[in-house]
Formats: sequence, C-alpha cells, structure tokens
Amino acid sequence: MKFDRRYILPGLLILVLLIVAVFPGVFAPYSITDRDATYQAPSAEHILGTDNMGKDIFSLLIYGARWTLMIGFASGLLAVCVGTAFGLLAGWRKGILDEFLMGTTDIVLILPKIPLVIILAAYLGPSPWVLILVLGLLSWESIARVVRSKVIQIRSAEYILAARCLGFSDVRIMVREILPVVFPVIVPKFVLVTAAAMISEASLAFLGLSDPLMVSWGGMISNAFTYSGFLRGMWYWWLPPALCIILGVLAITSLAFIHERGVREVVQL
Amino acid sequence: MKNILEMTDLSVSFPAPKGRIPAVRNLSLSLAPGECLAIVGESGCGKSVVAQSVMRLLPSGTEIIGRISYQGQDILHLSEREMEQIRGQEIGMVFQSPQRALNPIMKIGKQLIQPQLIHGLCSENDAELRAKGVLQGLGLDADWVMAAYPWMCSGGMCQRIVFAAVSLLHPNLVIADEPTKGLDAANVTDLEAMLSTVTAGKRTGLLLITHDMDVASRLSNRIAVMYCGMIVEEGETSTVLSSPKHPYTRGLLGSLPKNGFVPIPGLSPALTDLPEGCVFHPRCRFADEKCRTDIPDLKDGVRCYQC
Repeated sequence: MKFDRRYILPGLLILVLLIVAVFPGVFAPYSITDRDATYQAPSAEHILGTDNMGKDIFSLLIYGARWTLMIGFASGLLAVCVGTAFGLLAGWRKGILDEFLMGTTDIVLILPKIPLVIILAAYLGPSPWVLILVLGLLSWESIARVVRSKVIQIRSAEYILAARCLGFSDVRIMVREILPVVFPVIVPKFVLVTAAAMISEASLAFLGLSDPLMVSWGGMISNAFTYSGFLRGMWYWWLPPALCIILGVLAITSLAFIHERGVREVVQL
Repeated sequence: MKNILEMTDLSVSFPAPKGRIPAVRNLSLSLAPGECLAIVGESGCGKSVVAQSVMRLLPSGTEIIGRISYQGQDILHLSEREMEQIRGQEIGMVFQSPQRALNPIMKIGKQLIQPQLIHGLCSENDAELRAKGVLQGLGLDADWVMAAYPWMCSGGMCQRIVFAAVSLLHPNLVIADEPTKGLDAANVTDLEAMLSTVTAGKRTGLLLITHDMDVASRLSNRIAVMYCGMIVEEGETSTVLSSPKHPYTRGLLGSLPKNGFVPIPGLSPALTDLPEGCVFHPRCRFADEKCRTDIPDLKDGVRCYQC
C-alpha cells in the first residue's frame, strides 16, 4: 500500500509533541519548581521570560505538554473503549440489550457536555484523573452509534456465518472478526475525541476548574489571565500555550481528516 | 447403522408483521454415516433453512418445532456453548460463496489455523503443518496460500480453502449449502471430487443442499425434493431421478435443458399466502377436489393423492 504523504506534517508535529511530553526533562532548561525573578521579559536566560511565580515559561510550556496530551489521549482512549464495547454489543446482540444500550447512548448524546463537565469537575474536585474520566465518559456516544451501525452491516456477512459454523464464540467473533473491520472507523473518531478533550481541558483550566498544581497549556493561559499577564502585555506568556493547543488540535484533526479522505478515495475507486 | 442426523416433524417459522411465515413444515429426514442426502428444490423452498436449523444459526424470533437429533442428542435443546463445541468439530458447513465465506482482511493461513486451536485439536505449529498438508492435498501451493488474503485467490481456490477449513476439523457431518452456485464447470467437477471424499471413509455424512439436479444425481445416495417448505418426494436418488412420482419432481426434471426445457406452469406461491390442501395443486394438472382441501401425507416417499 502506498504511503500517503499528507500524513507527514501532522504526523511529525504529533511525534514532536509526544516526545516532548514523554521526556520533558530533556528539553526543559529548568525544573517547574525552579524560581527566579518574577515577570521577566524574554532573554537568553529565559527564552519566554518568567511568570508571576518567577518560573521559566518555556519550561512550563514543555512540562504542560505532558498533561494536556495525557488528558486528550487518555480521554480519547476511554471514550473509544466504552463506545466500541457499547457499539459491538448492541450491534451483535440486537434485541433488548441493543435497545437498552442505545437508549443509554441517546441519553448521553443529549446531555449538555460543557455545563455538565464544569459541574462534575467542580463537584469531584480538580484532579487530572477526574478530568480524564469525565471527558472520556461523556464523549463515547457517537463512537457507539458508528460502531453499532458498522457491526449491523457486517454481522450478516457470510464470513461471520462461516466463522460461527467453525465453532467461534460470540466474543471471539466480535474481537477477532468484526473489530478489525470496524477499526478504520474508530481511528478518526479517536483522534477527534482526543482533540475535543484537549480543547475542553484548556477551557476548564482557563475557568480555574483544573488542578492548580498541574501544569497544562490551558492552566498557563488561565494564570496569564489571572495574574495580569494580559494587562502587562506579556504575549510570550499566553500566546505560546495557545499556539501549542491550536497546533496540537490541528495536527490531530488533520490526521483524522486525511485518514477519512483516504478511506473515501479507496471506496470511490 | 445408527443415523448421524435425524430430523423429526421439523417445522420452522419466522416472525412477520402479520402472523408467522412457515419456511419448513413437518419435515422428517435422516442421514446415516457415509451417506449423502441431497435436498433439492427451487430457490426459497426452505432448503437452506433446514441447514441453518441444524447449525442453530437462525435469527432470534424463529420458531423451531420438532426434533433435530445429532448422534442421538437433541441439538435444539443444547446451550449456545455446547453448540459451539459441535459446530465445526462435529458438523461442518461449506457455503455457496467461497470468497465471501472467508474473512477478507485476515490471512488464509490464520483462518485455517484458528479453528483447529479453538477446538484444541493440536498445537499452533502442528495446526500450520496440518493446514499446509491439506492445502497441498487439494492441489494448492500451500506456502503461497497460507500467506495470501482471500481476494488474492480465484473462486475455485477459495472453494478449496473453505473445504480445507471444514475438513481440517474432521466433522462427522458436512452440510454443503449450494456449494456449486456461481462456479464454472471445471470448478464444479473439482468440488464434486472434494465432496465425494467426505463420505468415502464411511464415517462422515454429507447433507447436500442444491438446486443443481446434476450435482445431486452424481453425489447423493438419497434425494429429498422440497417445495414450499415441505418434502414432496424422497427416496433413492437413482429411483427418484429415473422414475419420479410427484408432479413437481417430474416438472423439475422436465425443466432441465437436457430433458426438453419445459417449465412448470405458474409460479411458486408466497410463503405468506400458501394455498389450502396440497401446496402444489395450483400448478398441478392432475389436481382434483381432494388436493385442494387436504394436505397429503408422505406415503412411500411421495406426498401426493394422484401418485
């Protein structure tokens, strides 16, 4: 199969972000606990200056990638796991189980996401794990719907019937025979949910609903806003994390769109 | 010899908006080891429903009345887990579209190895060796086929691969559901040769479901002719084909090109609107008043008042 060159740019960007997120100590000149004079302008010593606590903004930016990406990908993974399980079961079993699972999906579908996330994050406390749980458990419904319809389409295929005739169990058929076929549909959904979770994390952090001890890009913008970074014209405090969020989300959604377009082109062929 | 399969008074109906659709009615058949029983009839007469009833693959909501006994145990009362043990290892099935019966995104080797492992027949290495041996025995390049995907193989090759997948599990009963449909003459001959090996050991029974009378005549020992969900004639293949008694069997044989290509007048009735009495009477030139009111019993292998 020919490699699609359109993947290179967003793929490289995601790769760089992931490497930075996994090994922040290698790239950050300072630790997040190191302090210097506050509100410093960019200099050779501090490339992006220092914040209200005297922390190096460039180092915070590098350490911030870890939680922002972690929350995004973990939420996406959780949503994919729940959505795929619901979709597979509902599509394969049909009947009452299908009605129950899809009824639950419809309920989650109509929930107003952001207000609910705000309430839950405020009620359950500011923890990155709570954020992952809340964002992941409120983003699986469209995945479940898509997976279910794909499973219904595949379940009557002759090779599934043949697999049953060879003595394959329902679980084995769902995992080994159906899931690999559904997988290309799940991939773009996963990246879209990941991107949406990154934006939600930034929004919640900006509203002050994330863990203050957790360094994230949304939290940096929030701090810049709260501690007069905007009033002082310190663009180097809030603009880099904002750009990182935009670039990260753009790269992830680009991957999803390129993948989807590729699948569509193959189908049209 | 004790029969492998016995179906007694089997009736199968599907749910419909208005009542139920009777797909099979009061069917009784048996199959002995080493025997090939062919069920023939036109499309929609319920042949495949019989096969799927034996495999317990019919959709939920289907009503199955009667008894299907495999090796003495009533499979209609087995749990799904017990059926998983029987499917493949005890009863194998060959499908009508070989290319569609293989997973399109899984290598053929894996598709041949997995069923053996699931049934605990051997280790993975042995399973691979056994699969290669069977493929070579069927005249295929085993190494190439094991690494190939189904879309890389021709229809005839896929038919052999499907047959290999079934025969690797050594079932006691093989059901072949329209196995020759869509195959060219050369591949039909190959398939017939493969299927004839099934019953050669006198241990395995073959239930052949087909509308191809020629294939049925060459492979089967006994033949059952179905019409609108009922068996209208049953007996030794040579007897039924040489001196058919039921008007439908005669019409079916008469409609073959080699017998003059004379079609049976009229159309099969819809299963939702079956006629009273004998189901064939609207198309039968011998039908009298009794045929229009009473359903004849199967006597001496034929279900007809006029025979």
